[in-house]
Amino acid sequence: MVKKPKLFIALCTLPALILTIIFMIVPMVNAVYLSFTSSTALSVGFNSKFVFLDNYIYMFQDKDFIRALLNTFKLMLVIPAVTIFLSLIFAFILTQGELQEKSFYRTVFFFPSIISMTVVGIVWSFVFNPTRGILNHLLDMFHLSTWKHAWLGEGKTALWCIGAALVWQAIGYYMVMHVASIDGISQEVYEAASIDGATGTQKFFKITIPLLRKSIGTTYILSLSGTINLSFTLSNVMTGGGPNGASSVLLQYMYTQGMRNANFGYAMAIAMFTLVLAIIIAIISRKLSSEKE
Amino acid sequence: MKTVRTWCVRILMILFTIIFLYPLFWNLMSAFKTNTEYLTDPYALPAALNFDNFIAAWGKANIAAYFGNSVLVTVLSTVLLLLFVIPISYALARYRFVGSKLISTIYMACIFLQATYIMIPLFLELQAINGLNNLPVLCLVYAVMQFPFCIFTLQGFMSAVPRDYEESARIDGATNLQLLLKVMVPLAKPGIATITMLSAMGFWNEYPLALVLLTEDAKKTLPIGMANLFEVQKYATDWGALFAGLVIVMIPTIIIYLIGQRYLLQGIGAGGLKG
Amino acid sequence: MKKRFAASAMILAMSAATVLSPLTAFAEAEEQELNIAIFQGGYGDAYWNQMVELFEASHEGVKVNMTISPTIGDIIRPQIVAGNAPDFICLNDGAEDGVILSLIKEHALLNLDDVFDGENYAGTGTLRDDITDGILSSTKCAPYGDDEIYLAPFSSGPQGLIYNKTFFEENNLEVPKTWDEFFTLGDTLKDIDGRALFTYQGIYPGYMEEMLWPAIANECGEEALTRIANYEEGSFNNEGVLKALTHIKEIAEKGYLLEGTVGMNHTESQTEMMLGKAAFITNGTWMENEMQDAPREEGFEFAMAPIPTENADDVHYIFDSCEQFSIPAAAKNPELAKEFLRFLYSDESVSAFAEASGALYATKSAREVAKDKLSAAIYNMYGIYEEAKASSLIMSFSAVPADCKVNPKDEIFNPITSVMNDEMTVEEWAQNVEDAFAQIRADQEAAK
Repeated sequence: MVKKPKLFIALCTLPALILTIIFMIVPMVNAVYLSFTSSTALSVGFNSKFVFLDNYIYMFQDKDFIRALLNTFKLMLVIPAVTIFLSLIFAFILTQGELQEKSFYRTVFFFPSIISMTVVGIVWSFVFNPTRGILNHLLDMFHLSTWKHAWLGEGKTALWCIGAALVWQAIGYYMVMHVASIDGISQEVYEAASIDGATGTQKFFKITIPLLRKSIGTTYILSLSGTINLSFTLSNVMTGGGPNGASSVLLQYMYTQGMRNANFGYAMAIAMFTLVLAIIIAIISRKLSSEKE
Repeated sequence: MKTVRTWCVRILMILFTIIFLYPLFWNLMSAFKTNTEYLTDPYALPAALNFDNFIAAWGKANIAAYFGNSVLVTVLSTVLLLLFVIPISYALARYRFVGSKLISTIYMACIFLQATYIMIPLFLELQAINGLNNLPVLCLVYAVMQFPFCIFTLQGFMSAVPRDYEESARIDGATNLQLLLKVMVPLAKPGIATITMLSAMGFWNEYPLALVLLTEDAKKTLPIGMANLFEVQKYATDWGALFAGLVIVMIPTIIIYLIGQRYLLQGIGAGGLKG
Repeated sequence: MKKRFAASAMILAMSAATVLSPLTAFAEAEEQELNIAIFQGGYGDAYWNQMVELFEASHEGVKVNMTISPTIGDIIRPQIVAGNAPDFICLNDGAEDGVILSLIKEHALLNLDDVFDGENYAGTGTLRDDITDGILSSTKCAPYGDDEIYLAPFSSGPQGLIYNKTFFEENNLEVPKTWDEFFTLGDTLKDIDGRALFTYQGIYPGYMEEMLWPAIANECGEEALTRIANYEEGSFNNEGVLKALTHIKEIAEKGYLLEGTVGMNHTESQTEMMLGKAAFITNGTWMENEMQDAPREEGFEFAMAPIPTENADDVHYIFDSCEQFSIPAAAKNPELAKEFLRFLYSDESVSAFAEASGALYATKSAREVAKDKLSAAIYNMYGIYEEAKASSLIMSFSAVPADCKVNPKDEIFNPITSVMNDEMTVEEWAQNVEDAFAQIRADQEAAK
């Protein structure tokens, strides 16, 4: 090993580190500080009262916050599982299946994940539109008119409409990641299984999933954090958190409190809570997936 | 038997192809329709290939100017990003130094930190240093927001490159900088291409920060201009222009994607799971 | 201490300005800039372009910089926080973005008493006397409930149930006066062409204020609204209010609500109504202008009816819209902004507004001044006041403390969707509002 080139290392790392401190760490520290104050849009930081944990205490008496928290949990419970499962199936089909047009599917399935979330939200609003929406139109076509709903306007369905859009836009991304990991599994393993007469389904559950445990762990965490973050834009665009808060999620509620009600301090408290939650969940998931190995 | 099974799988895949593409196709179709056409039958094909909606969207929302701003922001942010991210990723991948472990861990943790969380303090900070409505400053902020993910990904990529190439170049007398630029960068090309494309598309589509940090109309980027168009549509019942605007926003991403998809798809697969 | 000094300095500066202003206004040849921020809603932008031009022409050396946008609140919020507030704002306190609401909460608007106590633009009397009675003293204009004016009234007009006059005439239908007649009509419609009785702006349930406040006033009297506006205990969860809420719930419960309403935005529901899918929709006089490009059923003609009442001979309360102008306390050029405000109430401006936007200023003579500028439909809609026993109604919440986290309008109107979907009872609705009021009262107490 050659001698460490200290100057070179410093030149490589310092510019990025300094910028990170200015535009990421400092605002982050400020966010924490603001969350301990009663800052509003017009009296920020040192002009406002230091209330320490009041904002955090208020949170748990605030039924709208509790609902946003529960909604976020609901999405986190369902969306990553569905997304990862479907993306694994597609990845398996694309690597082990015998379709000549594989690369076409790969291109198409990945496509939604490059579209702006704002656009995704608007396009899906039209899917769920009560009168001219694609979904209700399909139900009519199949003579299932009784199943029709005002999807985004009903408390029972609105959150899951956002969930559907989330899954739709994320599947391709995780599929591509899983394709790469499956490619990493030696083809001989699958061939040996074929000789033993294993069906595709058996290969999927007995070989692919167990061998991919570690990478599934990673994609699962990414998907969890994606659910927390991306549900914000979708909820904002598709429902504004409505009806009556039925589809509000943590960051969307933060935005409402910060931007609409101008309570900067309270909004930052919600943001910090959400961030800590995201990190804790990531740590737990990582622990769980590495223990099982 | 085998062909039956293949066809079952194929039908499943075609079904999902429709699910993935139809909403977008429907949107494209609606962009060519007049209001009356859209309201009477949103599922019929448009009567004619009529570009009025695109012209309306282009003119009404001042999309031409926003488009220019967006191109500038996307290119400059991407250049800045690569300028900072490649060296630090290389240093982290190849050397152990004081704090290297800590830096990696911090960047990994910060992957969770979205701009949304720190929007308000960031706004206050830029206001204090007079950095609002300043596109180069916005680009710098955009680049920094992408640091964690890109450093995490690129570091993974570079660690996977065997050291032999560098060792032999070093024996030939290459400097550290040359090792980075002449040896590592070409070898890590798929990784660099991946983060370049993902970030560029992210910059192109970014909305919350631009909304807060750009308040002058002349400085706005396309997503903000689009949001304006949606709002105008709400008060002017012009559905056609809305759909046309959506198509206009999507076209550049589609082009980048189709050109670079080979790198992109390989890159995500290879880089994303290394950490 | 510091604050008091700043205040006295400001008073000094202000008195100096008033003394000097007659002189400076004419003597100063150098260019003055006026930055105005305008909300672009259903009225369009033609009127404002015209006003900027006229004001610049009649005020030498004045340059008006206008920002007009449907998302004006999002645009000016950061500017205000950055200490770069516009001089003049045209935006409602009820707007989604909440900018005006927070300016009120923070006491960051300029007091406008002197504008209204001063002469009107034509110099024929005080401006206060020109404004429609009752508006200036309402919380719409005097948000702290002390008669001090911080918001100036812009356009004002009746809001109620919009319907297609032609359809009613062709089918010999009477416009319902009572809730019973209203619901009976719903059954009749089913036999005519199956159109629904009612729809509203689904995902923006705030529009239902046009129905809720008159209904509550009918059940409990007008003063009940003042109690609600002040968040008094028991003002919302009581027998009278519950009766009004129940009528609203009945619309959906008895199957009179257009299917899918809860998922529509305002333009969608308004389009459906104009296409003949529903007989009534809550809305104001701006609807004709807003929907000018929208398709409609043949012969469609706008008309407006009051909200039904319990008994046929009850007073029919009509909830007036009242949009607002304001001047931030931090405005760079407040005197010029006040001059602009006075100018907007001139006959020239009032009549131009009527012509371009089909709506009226909240001035006593507006209807007369703009008589030949209004479309027949809009003139008819204003005629709602002439109906027997019509009485206009204004309702606006008093300001909540600056760091209050409850938005009273959200608490009252957002549950409407849940109630319509039968996911919530009216009792739960009323109780939730009471809980929110209790929190606001606690915050008020803490702020003292």
